[in-house]
Amino acid sequence: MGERSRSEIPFLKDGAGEPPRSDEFELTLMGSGYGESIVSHIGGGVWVVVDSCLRADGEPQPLSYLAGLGVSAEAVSLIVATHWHDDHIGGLSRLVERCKQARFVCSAALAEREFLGIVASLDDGSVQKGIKSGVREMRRVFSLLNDRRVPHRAMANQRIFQAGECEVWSLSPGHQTFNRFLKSLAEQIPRVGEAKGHVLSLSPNEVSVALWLRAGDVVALLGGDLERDGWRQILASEARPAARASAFKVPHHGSQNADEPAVWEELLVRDPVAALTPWNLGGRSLPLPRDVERIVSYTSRAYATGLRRAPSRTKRPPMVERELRQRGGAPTRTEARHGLVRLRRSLKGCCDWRVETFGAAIRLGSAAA
Amino acid sequence: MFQSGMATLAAQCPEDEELQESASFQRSVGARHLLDDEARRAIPEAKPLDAETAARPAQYVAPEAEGSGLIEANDETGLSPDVRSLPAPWMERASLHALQEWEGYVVAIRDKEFQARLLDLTAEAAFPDEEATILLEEISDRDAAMMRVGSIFRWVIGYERSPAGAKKRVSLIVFRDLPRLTEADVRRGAEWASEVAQRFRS
Amino acid sequence: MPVEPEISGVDLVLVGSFNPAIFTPDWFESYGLLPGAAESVENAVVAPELARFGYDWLHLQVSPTRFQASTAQAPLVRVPDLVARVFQEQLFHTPILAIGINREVHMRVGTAGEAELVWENLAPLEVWGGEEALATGGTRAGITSLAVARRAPEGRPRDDRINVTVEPSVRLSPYGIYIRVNDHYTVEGDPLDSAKRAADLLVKEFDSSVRHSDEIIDRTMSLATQPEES
Repeated sequence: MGERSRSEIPFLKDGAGEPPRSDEFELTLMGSGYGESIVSHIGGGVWVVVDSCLRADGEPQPLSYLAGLGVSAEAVSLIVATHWHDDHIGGLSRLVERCKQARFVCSAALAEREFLGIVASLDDGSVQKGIKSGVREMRRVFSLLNDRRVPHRAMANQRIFQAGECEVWSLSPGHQTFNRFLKSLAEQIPRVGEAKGHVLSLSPNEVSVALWLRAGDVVALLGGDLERDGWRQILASEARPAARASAFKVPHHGSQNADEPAVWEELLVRDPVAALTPWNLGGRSLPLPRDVERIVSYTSRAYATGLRRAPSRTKRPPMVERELRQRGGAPTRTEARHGLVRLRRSLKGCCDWRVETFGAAIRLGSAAA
Repeated sequence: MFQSGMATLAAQCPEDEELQESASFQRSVGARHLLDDEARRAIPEAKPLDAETAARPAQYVAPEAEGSGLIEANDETGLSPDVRSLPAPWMERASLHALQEWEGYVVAIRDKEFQARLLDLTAEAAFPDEEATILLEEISDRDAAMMRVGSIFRWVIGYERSPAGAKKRVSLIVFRDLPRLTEADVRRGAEWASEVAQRFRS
Repeated sequence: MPVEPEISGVDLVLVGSFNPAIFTPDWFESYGLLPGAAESVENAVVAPELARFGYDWLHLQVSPTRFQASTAQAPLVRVPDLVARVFQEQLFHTPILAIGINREVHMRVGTAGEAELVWENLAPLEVWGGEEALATGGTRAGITSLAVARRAPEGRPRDDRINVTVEPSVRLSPYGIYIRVNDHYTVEGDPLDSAKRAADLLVKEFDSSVRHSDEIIDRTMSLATQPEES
């Protein structure tokens, strides 16, 4: 297996290098500590994008990456929104708008009338520009899709895309999770007469879409943010595709809640290549050190697009700094650690994955991690 | 609406530019509901009464106080009864100019403090990537009572200057009084949801 | 800003058709728009043709054709939030034809020389006959008001415009500069359902309008305070 670290080379638009060959499978995971997206080439110039996140300048990262490879947005055939958390749909509407040939697929839970009604009533575009709401992004996406470009819903054990020798299946969510999701959503939304605000992401992530991708002889499993209960339902299902994956996008930033050991035993080959994105919010971060320990016990080939470093602070005018000092604390920045993990291998399955890391991405279990 | 009142007032105050403009506009628009190009050109610019002239006392000829519903706290003008000197507007108050401003939302609420995620508006940050722990004693009692996870606020730091020239450093957190969810919002939302839900394919 | 304002605020002006008699402090309090307004307002005037009062951070003034809400206290966004609630929740049938987001600042420059430099940079006296020709008995010669109209940024309706006014400050004397940027928005479409559109436009555009106006003020003051080339 080939592995090369090119952290000195600016990535994305400036140095992503050559695009994959037509008979090459690529799986590229990008993340910055708050935001995740996967760009995948499944052969024959067919591209798939799963979720979206933003660069610091507000541009969707997947589009930037494709542009860096010289790949047109028109080459994207499938966009999947695994769930509606803010960190997975940053810039999604712009992505959908620019990738005009792409089929859009989202969790079937998001196609429910009740969820859509909440999205629409909470955000009619009148709330502030600054704080970006996942609700607003989803509304924009649905407004872009119409009778000529219909949206599709993803449910358990359903093939959502096929092109020649390539196919994409959704392994979740199951029907039984819908009611629980809608109930938990209803408990959090403002009532008539209450102020519209920023509706935060909900847990559990049981309505997240997990994807199984096959191109030629190569299979990859993308875990979204699906948590343990969701994985158990997948494992118990007899209708799911049988082939084991050799590449795995670790679900929910490597959290304990999303870990199910049977996934590694039954859905993946031995010692697969695994990758995850970190997550930081409100003083919490994932993966925790014990999560990293656990993951490297499953595979010797685990990577992350970055890990959290010590919080940094922004320097401000002296008067502002004095005031902040007097109040006993200044805001801390969750340092954005942009990184990218790229996997490529031949569709014929004869060679192993070639792994490249860019920016802040690292191999887990190494001294740098 | 109130055309006759406006016309009377305007006739009594020929020097008052705002009143003249308002009366002229009312005459030109009249009761028309849909404005053509000519009417649109008559729309005055949405500027305030020139603040510089407003700093000098405005003179209005007010209707007789009795029975008019006129409420005025400051009656000691020493002027003749039907000429009232109305107070100067907002620039007579203390002014707080923000040197630093964030928009934030509440992530978690604890006993004496709350955790917030912040977007630096002054630096024009693209997304909220700062966090802060804020004591509940730093916000008003009303805001503390109404705050919930997801509530949005503005935090400003700057100098406040009084009209007398006194200057002090101020840090102020104010929760935004955003539009309320209405029955109409829910109804419109349901209509849109129906339309979109029908488009989905499996 | 290169010169920080001593007085800084925003006037939000809506042009349309209003009933001033509605806008009592009680009315605002009863709809949860201004808590405690009934008891804490200052200098209230309410008549069929005019309503006006001061409340904490807010100054309100309403005539039959203008609704004006102003503040000199950051965060300025409280003003559009209040106005949006008034016209989205309560008075949603009000015809509103135009919105003005007026950013106003008074800045002090340190010395007579610096003040003269500002006016000389903005409008050289030589063009107007020189200082001697302009001298009046007792009062300062020179610019009393400078006004410029410019097109609104790309993408906005044709009738939108930005008007910039620069004057000597009457609030900060002797060496104060006053700048107002009037960002004028037309509310297109049928006036009968314009209130919601106006409120949406206001909340959507307010922050960027103020930021844009601050940039204009910054640029004006940067140019105005540039020393003469020797």
